[in-house]
Amino acid sequence: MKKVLALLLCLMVSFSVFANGASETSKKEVKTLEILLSDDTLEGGAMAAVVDKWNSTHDNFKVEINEIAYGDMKTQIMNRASVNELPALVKTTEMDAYAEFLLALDDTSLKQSDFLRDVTRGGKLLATPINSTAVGMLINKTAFDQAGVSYPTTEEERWTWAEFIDAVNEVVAKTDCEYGIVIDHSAQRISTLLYQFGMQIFDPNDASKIAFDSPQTKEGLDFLLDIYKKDISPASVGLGTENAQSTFKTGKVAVHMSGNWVLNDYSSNITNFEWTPALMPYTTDKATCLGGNYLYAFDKTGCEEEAKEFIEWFYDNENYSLYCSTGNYLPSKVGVDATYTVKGMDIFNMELNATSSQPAFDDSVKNAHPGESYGNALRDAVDKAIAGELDANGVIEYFSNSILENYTNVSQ
Amino acid sequence: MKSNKNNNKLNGFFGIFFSLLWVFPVFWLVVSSFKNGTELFSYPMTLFPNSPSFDNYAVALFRFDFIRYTLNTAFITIIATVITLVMSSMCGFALAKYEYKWLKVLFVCLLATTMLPTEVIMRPSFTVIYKIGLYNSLWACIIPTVGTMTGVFLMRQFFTSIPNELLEAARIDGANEGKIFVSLMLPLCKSQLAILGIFSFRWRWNDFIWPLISLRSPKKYTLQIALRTLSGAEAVDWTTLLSASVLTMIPVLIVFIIFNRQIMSTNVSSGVKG
Repeated sequence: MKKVLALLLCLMVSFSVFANGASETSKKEVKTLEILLSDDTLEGGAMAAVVDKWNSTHDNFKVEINEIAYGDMKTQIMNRASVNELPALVKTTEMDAYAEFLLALDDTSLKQSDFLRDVTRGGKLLATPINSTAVGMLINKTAFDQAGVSYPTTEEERWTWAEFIDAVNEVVAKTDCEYGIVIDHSAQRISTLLYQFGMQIFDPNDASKIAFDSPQTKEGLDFLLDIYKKDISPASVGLGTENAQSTFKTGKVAVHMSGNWVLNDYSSNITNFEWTPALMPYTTDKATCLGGNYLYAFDKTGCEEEAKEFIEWFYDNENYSLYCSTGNYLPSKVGVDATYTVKGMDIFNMELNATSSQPAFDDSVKNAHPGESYGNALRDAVDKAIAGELDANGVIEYFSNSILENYTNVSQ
Repeated sequence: MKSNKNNNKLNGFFGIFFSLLWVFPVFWLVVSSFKNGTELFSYPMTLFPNSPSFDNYAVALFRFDFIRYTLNTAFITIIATVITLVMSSMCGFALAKYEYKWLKVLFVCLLATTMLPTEVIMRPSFTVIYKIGLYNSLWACIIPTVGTMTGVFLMRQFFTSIPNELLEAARIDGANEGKIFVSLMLPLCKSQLAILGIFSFRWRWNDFIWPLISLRSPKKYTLQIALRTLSGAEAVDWTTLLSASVLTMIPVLIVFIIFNRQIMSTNVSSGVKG
């Protein structure tokens, strides 16, 4: 027993030394600027490459990446905010929730006009859009070639949605594909399809008016629900119980409606068939929805000046190009070119150039309602419709009511 | 006699059936961890990999700081388990064998704490940890977790079953309370300590929420926090996630194998005492 106790004591002492070692070392280091982010390693380590470049060329302060899971980002930020230990910089998809804690970047060399997405709130430049994502389509090239069906890669060849259905039905009939299309279980992807039928969430002539209830929206919703009713897409994917990305990887689906963020994954993990991005169909409008991450600094972290210095350096064209090229990101800064290691990024750039103005207008209305959100109401309503609980009119009513309940100063 | 034999066969059949039902997903996880990304999603699915490879394990080991996260997790798990065993056995012994006024009330009060879900006390626990300067320290993952009433209750119930005459005989022979506890009681409850040790090891090794809240530096992160980074906003690195999950299962499996004999002997010894 004495031997066991002595062994345990030794273990505890040696572990204590190990546990304290890290903090002892950090005390001797130069000032460190922390960047809290998620998914960098998954997406190719772009920020890690830029940070390595900073650390090898600068010695006034060190930059350190703190990578956590995307799903834990909010918990980490809120928790750290509660004890005044916020990170100096954050890269994430959400900015409005933290707008009041952000460091204004107006006294840097960066301006709103440098960027493709709106990052000013209350007249202040509060963030930078570090990368853009665009909704788009990826097709099973092997199946399309085998069926002898062509697919659009130029504006002139772009399908209408009716032509698209004919094309995928032909592919399914002539190949081993079991389904024509899978669409991500996402409000953004559903919105993109509805925008292509002419849907408007808010009235472009009066931002306080909801314009969702329209014949165009109804036509789009009926079309979407028909895809599931006619088994062109599995209802399980529409409901989110099966993952669209994983289903497309099986090779049994002709088309995946997703976005440019899947290119890295597909390049690494699909080798049993060929795939390629293709232009999305339309009915009245060509449209895609923009998304992406923001990079911003928190105020009162004690590293405000260092954060501004790093952000300015980061958006130098050479450094920002390195970031976009390494992660295969669409640049959010005007006039920056990137070279990509994956194929098909040009298709997503074409979608960005061709999109109607309505998605950006609706986004600007959402940004004008900080702290207010209708969440995934559209996706939830479509889920209910796929499950047979609502029809297209029911979806319109459900979503319109969600906006009315959650937004102030808007009316039907 | 014949009916007993049939019962035994039926029990054996159900035992094997439910064991296979439990083992199959784990087995599937292990064999899938040797598949590449294409094979993992190929249709129709195959159970065994066509071209097994250790590439996923190499990625899991070298893509992130696997060694550091393992050491952090091991530190938290081993220290917390040792303290849990010491605290639970001492507390259980005291609650079972001493007849002080209010001790039974204290026991009921302690037992009542099990009705509070851990999530409810997370915020106050976090405030305490922050105020005493342990935020972002590995000790922050240990101290709030070691006082487990489940462990105290397990040990108390066992000590209750030991005859008081045994203690009185030791006292007559001149042993003090410390000596009685260390030399007499602890050797008797090896089985219970082994069970509690396995549970505590598993709880701390797999702990996710509390380390997520109490740690903020990548140098202090545990394996479970690191594993979560493989699930991104739009993509999941399934191949690495599977291999890393298998690697994190190994220490728990080793601990179970080591203490397995003690668990098996629990039923025997409790049968004798009953």
